[in-house]
Amino acid sequence: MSVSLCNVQVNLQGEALFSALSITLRGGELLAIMGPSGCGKSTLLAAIAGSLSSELTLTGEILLAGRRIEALPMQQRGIGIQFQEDLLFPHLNVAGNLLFALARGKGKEAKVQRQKAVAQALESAGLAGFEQRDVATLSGGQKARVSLLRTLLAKPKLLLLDEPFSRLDDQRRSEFRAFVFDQVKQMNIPAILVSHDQQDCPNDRYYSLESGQFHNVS
Amino acid sequence: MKLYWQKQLSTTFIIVTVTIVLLIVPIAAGLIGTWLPAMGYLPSAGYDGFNWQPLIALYSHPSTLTSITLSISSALLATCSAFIISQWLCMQLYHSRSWRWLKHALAPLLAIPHLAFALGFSFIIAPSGWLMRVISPQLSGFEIPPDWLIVNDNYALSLSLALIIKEIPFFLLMTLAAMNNFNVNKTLQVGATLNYPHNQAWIKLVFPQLYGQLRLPLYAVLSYSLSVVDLSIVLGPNAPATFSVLINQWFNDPDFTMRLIGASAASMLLVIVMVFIGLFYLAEVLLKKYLKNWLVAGADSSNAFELPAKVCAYIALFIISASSFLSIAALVVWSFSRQWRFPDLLPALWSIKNWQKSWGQLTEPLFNTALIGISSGFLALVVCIAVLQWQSQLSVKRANNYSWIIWLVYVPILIPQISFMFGIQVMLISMNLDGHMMTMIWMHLLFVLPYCYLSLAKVYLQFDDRYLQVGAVLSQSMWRSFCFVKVPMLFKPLAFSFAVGFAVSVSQYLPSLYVGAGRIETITLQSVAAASGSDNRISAVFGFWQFVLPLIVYFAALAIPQLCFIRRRGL
Repeated sequence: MSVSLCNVQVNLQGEALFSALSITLRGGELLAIMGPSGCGKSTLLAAIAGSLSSELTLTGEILLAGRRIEALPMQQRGIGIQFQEDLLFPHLNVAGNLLFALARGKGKEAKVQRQKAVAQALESAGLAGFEQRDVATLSGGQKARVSLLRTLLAKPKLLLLDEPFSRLDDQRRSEFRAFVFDQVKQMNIPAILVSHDQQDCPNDRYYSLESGQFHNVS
Repeated sequence: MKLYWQKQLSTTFIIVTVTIVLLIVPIAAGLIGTWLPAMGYLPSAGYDGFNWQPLIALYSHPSTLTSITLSISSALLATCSAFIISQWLCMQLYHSRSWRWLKHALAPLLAIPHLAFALGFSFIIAPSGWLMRVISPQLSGFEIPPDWLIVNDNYALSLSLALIIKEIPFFLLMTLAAMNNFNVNKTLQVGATLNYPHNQAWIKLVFPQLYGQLRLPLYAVLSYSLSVVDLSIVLGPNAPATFSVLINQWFNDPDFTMRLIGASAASMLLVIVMVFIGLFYLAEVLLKKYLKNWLVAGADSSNAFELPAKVCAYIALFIISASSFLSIAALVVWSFSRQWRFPDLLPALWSIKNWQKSWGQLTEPLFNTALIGISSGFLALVVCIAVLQWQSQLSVKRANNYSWIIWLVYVPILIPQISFMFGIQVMLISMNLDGHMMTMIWMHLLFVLPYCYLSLAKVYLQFDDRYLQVGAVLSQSMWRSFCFVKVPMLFKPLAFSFAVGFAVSVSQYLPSLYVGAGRIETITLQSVAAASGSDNRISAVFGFWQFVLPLIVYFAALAIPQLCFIRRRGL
């Protein structure tokens, strides 16, 4: 599984917001893009995910697992996004939130399989037995983990991380960061992380985005 | 400082309690004053004993069953259709090019009073109306209007249709307000990244989060549709009329026995409304239970109906906007027409004679309507500020404990007006208070207050009270800080809330009819009276004024804050 960005740029009324970005990431590899607030990091992620607002346009090519995706609607791109907010669905419990991400299946066996997948995922995150919990009763760190599990259960081919650690306190932040990096490696999918905090920078590849220019720092 | 706030809290608590008592006491008295005659007890008319006679007479009346069936069927059709179509529009048009247009079009659509719309709408759909004129004689072959019963049809379909078109903008407004409570855009993005097509993500993720905020408006529309009188008089069936109109006829019958039957019927209407609100709640609980598994059953990637669904949404949007604006246009054209033969699309001769003729009948109702609207709107605003100020100072835990008090504010819009207006009338007559301007303003306040509260609560409670604290420290007076910091910062929503209150007051029919005692004429009373007459031109003039008055106040509410703070971009 790999992703290639070829001369990717976002334009507002014909003017590029940042320089063209070309990069290839293999499975399990994590690219961090660091930069101050408002420099266009999240806009780049929105362009890759297919959620750019109508006044912005994308130029360049995005190849995900060998397929061009820039013209596809968001739900057909096979990309998972983890936002700053956990965005857990308040009308569903923990299991409901995770089941929501799993592919549809028919019959009793499929139902059992789906529930098993949820239980396994929760166990892997140290949240075994949390199935029936109301999401509002979870701590910030637990919410973040459930939210990431939900994203990963949909089996994305690329994971986009939009400042996912910024709302957590220092201790939870480092725990959750380790959990995220570990999951990316385990699932062997490429991931792009944007953040304004140097602490979030992994050991993999690292770009900085300042004044509309990408700089390869790693 | 803490002591000061505690003192403030207890002061506002007293204000709130007094306010609630002022609101609830008349409704409770009105209900009791209706239930007692329903059981045969109306001493002022010589009925001293309790008995089941009025109820038995109601059951045996030939119109009762048909009338109830008509009310229930039209209310269910209108409420469910308006609710479903409004949600459909939101789902299909969210973030499309029409979305911004829709948001801007809502205010003028909402500003059209139900009665003015109904009058204009009847001019469009009638056999001699604009729709028929457009297709005549070429397509329809009619040289004279066909003898069809479209307006006042026996199945109350035209009434249902008008209610649907009128309630959709209200539901849209409530949905837009509910959408501010969570990040709809990101929720849809999460749904999309989990492979859900837009419509499925909306139904499974967005709608369940919206519904909690839409429950109360849904019940309010249901109650209104089941008990509406003025709209039913204009568009509803006549033989028999809908249940609320029938009750109104009984209450105004010179024979007091019929008034007892009316009281019995009004009590029954209250039961019907409560039963249907209960059924709606039950349906919600059952749907929640049985759709629980479907919600998490996984994405269905088929999006075969997305395009037709979108096209249908655009068609619905066109019909709603076109019929609303054409209704007003029809009022204007009719009011200036002198000679307008079928099938001409426009009058052959125009004249201001209708305006001149009706001006003598208009001045007093216009003055009364404006006075009642301004007074009740202003009082409602003061009460709302007191309630909201008290609410904003409560901790989350205490706010939950007191949430029932806030629900009391909504009672007047959940209980059908006709279920307690007769009791209020009896009470006011016995206290010699009927037909007084003050009592009229008070009764309007009952119905104006919930809408003022609905339109103001969200913005008021979101206000960052640190501004107030900074102002208090600097000016060394909490009152000065409140008047010169908080009120100016919230001037825009306060003005809008006042305009909403004014519009609600203008549209009140039953309170004006029962409390005015024929001595206080309002523009709405005159409009209904004119609609029952045979001259379309005169009823168009009255309908037009019923539309224009709230519109002027809406414009003022938008323009005055703009002018006051023309150089303040942050406001």
